[in-house]
Amino acid sequence: MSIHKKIFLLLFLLKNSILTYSQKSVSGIVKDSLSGEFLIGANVDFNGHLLQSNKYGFFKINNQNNQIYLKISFVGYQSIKFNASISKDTLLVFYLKPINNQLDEVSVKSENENMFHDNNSGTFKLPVSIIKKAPSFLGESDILKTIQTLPGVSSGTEGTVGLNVRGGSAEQNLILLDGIPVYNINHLFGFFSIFNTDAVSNIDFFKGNIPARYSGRASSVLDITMKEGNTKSWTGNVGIGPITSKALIEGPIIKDKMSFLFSYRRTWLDILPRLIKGGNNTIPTYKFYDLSTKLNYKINSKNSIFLSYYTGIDKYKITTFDDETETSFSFNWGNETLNARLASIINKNLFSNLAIYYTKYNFEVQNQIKSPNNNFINNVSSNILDLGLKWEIDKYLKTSQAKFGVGLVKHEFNPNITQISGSEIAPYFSNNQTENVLEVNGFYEQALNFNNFKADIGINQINYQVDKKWYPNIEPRLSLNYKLNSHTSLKASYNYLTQFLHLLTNSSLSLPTDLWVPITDKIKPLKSHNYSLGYYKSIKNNSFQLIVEGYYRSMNNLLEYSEGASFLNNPSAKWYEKVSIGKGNSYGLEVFLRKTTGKSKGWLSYTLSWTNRQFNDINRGAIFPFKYDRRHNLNVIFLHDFSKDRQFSANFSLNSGSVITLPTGKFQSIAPPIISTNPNTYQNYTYFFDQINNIPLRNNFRMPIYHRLDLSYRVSKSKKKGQRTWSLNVYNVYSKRNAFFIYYDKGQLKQFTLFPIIPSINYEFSFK
Amino acid sequence: MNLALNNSKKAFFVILYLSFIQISCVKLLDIEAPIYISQNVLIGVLHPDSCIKVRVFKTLPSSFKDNNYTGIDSLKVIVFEDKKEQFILKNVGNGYYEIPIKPKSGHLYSVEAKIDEGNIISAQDSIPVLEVPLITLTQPKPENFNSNPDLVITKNINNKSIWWFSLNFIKKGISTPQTLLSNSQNLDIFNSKVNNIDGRRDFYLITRVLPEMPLGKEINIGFVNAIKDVDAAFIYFSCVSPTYDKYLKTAIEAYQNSLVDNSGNVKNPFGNFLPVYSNVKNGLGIFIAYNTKKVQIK
Repeated sequence: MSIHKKIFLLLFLLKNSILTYSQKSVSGIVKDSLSGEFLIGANVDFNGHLLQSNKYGFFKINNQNNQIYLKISFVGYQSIKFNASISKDTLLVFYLKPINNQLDEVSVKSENENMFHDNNSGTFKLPVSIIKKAPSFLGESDILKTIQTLPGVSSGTEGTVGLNVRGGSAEQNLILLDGIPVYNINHLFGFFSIFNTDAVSNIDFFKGNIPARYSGRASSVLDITMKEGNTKSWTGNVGIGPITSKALIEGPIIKDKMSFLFSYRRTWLDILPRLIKGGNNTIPTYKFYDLSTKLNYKINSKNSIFLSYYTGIDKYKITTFDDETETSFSFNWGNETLNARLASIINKNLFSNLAIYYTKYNFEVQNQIKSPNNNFINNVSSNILDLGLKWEIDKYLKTSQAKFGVGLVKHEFNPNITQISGSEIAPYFSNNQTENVLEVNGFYEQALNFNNFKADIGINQINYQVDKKWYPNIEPRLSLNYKLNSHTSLKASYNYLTQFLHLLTNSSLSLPTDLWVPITDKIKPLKSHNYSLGYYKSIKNNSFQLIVEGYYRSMNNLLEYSEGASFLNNPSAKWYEKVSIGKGNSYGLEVFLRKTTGKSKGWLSYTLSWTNRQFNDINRGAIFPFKYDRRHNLNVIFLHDFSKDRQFSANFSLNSGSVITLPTGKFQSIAPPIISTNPNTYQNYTYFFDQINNIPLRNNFRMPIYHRLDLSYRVSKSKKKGQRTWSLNVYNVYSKRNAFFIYYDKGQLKQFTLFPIIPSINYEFSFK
Repeated sequence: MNLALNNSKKAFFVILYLSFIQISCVKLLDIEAPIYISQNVLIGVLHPDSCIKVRVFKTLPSSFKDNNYTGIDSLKVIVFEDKKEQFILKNVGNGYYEIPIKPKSGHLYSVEAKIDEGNIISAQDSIPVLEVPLITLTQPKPENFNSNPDLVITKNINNKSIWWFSLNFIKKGISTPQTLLSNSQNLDIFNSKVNNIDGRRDFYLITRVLPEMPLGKEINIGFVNAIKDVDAAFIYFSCVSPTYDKYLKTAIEAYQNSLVDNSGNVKNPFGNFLPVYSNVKNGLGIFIAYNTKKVQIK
């Protein structure tokens, strides 16, 4: 069957499923009572059937009787019960009160009651409040670093925000910001994420079963929703720490109808060199900033529109002044996203979300020489640009709900644009490597309930077109949930996932020169088969939750730079001439124990895992451990509320060291045919060729065990116009000298440690 | 026609240094290194002007400070010419074996060293026929550094020779390789970087010509030091075998990616150990062939 026929068939199926049936129904929208923000994924218990509100806080139930009883709960909010007589189709708005404003906050029984009702394995909803309270590096609370503490997730290099989920590399994670893919997720080479926690309202992380609505990546999905803007009153906050300062303001332009949010964060790092410039003729500066703004407008009770814009930029520049000549070398890189959405209640059974978006990642390297006689500029840039349209519909069935939709995305890759200009040379422009990938997809997912047995089934038909060649992929998604008793269930899932792009990197840090490249007519999409089986148990009336889950993943068409190749070493060569194609696998066992109630909360996660790679022309074709292979990975997050205003938290990490390549032996070799009798010009070469390294295998050495303890203490105080918060964070409390990298120096193994103990203090003021 | 991307790693390091590395530290490690297994190494270079000579020796563990490799003597080492004629090399001590015979251009040479029964290490390579392009100097140019002329290399032979070259200035008896400046697209930029003076690329010590350079094309090359002030100037043009070419590129890339310099200082925190190409079977090392022409330009 041709692609076009498949797409037509899918659309036909979707059209048929839009047919509705008549029944008395209750629709609801769940919101925060103070800000009017939608509560995404709120649990709605209707006669034992559990539903979840969607991205717009919306849910709908069909009722045979006039009397209706509902219980609505959400993490960090006081549950409400609703009991009423309904004689016609009704739309209600439910306002939930945040727990922080309740005196009896510690009496709340459970924060995540849907653990056993949610059919998806490996799914986490992270409360933003916990991320804010958890210890942070230099005071920057970070979503990605908290996700690193979950089972099956390992960080990359120390201190960075890289996510390697169940043996996948960083680019295998689909990171969505308000539903839009974001390509660069970090600032300062990965030490800080681009997500300003203050502006975030919801975080969903999927690493087991990936619902069919998500596609395009092979490992996991992190779906981050920004706040929509307070529809009730104007609020805001400002904060200052050792690295950044930030501000957020939000409020109603028209109360309960139109609201606005603006947040901004920037570093201090560029100010310091200016202050200490003195008589130096070289000035290095570095800064990053991110800015989010949102506007939403409720057209009527059934339609709302949302506009959002995000940009985050890193800039580095080093300028040298010499007589009349100014030489500068600069790097700029960052993301920009723009998104417009229309959310509509089409009828009592259908909720629609239509979105059009643009997302761009760009990096630019520039050399400029200015003198009275010359103005030479050499500029190399690379970018990836997506233009997308997607339409998703939630359909509410008799006892469950379904979701389906279609999407169209044009991906444009420009991996190497070169521009040279100068008064003494002919201008030069080159952009001969542009690649376009067209993505057409449609999906259908539905939850099925059969007493103790539940299932989420889904299918995603995703098609990639590159150079007039189509890559059709049908991705089945299946998640099963068998309830053994009221406290225990077994969950299993199988997912087939494909990916149309790769990230070429040969560094352990996230450098702007890491290259996003598409599939081509010769390089096929990355494919992965993902299996998991989990045991879920609730203990002591759900005060504790235990998950034990095993997984296996296989990956094909992985891409890596060939040995010795990189974007930096030979930028003139086409990227696909410098890569190897291979395969990999990952398997392991994850344990997650979480305490959800009381003054002390937190979790313990442990992962035992193996992750391997194999490429024909890397490591002589032999299997080698992936660079982020960690045999053991233990994380403990502990949060304790002394009172409403004072909180303590701790984070302990203990894991196997990462693997690196170290030579085992050395030998004399042949020096290049260079004639020199000047010892000053040739010494380094002769030294190097007198002791060439013998590297029998890639990633043949595991670094020492890594462990670290971070602590945080927060004190808040109510003031006349708001609340101020001081927080003290100590990273690596006992100053463990962990290895950042290891190397040989004159026969002696040496270790480079990047972060000893690092204390920091932050100040924040929230306006009422 | 590319930018100073090689500078970028240094730039990142500067940023990291500004941000964090001032608080970082280095310490000696007392842990078990990767398991070392001693291996046999064979190295040899064939050139029509030199007698055939190879060395066979043992590797040393990376943890050894010195580089006193132990030669393996009393082996039977044979060199074959075009897989027919045999030359038995004489052991002259410390693993060196030689014979007073000069190899010839255009011939294939293979070497075998019998370590013990059933353990023979071997390698082979061909000496390329010497074909060099046309090398000329322009008139001195006032816009150049020190009003130097440009060096012009013209491909006047329709072949696929692989050329590497260097420019040496001789002053008071000391021969010093020069840094060359060029933006030619017919040079391999893998070991170059953009200079901050005029935007051209700096080629340090040795430069590779792209084998696919079209017939009749020219490469314009500049240099910084004043040619008028030196006693003599030479171009050393090497015509290397594909094996030698692959070895040299991987070796220089491995050098560029070194984590530390020869003083033990971290020179590139993003570096990683890269393997160097070897054509030796049942052992390590390299057996390569090349041909050279020395052209005096002053």
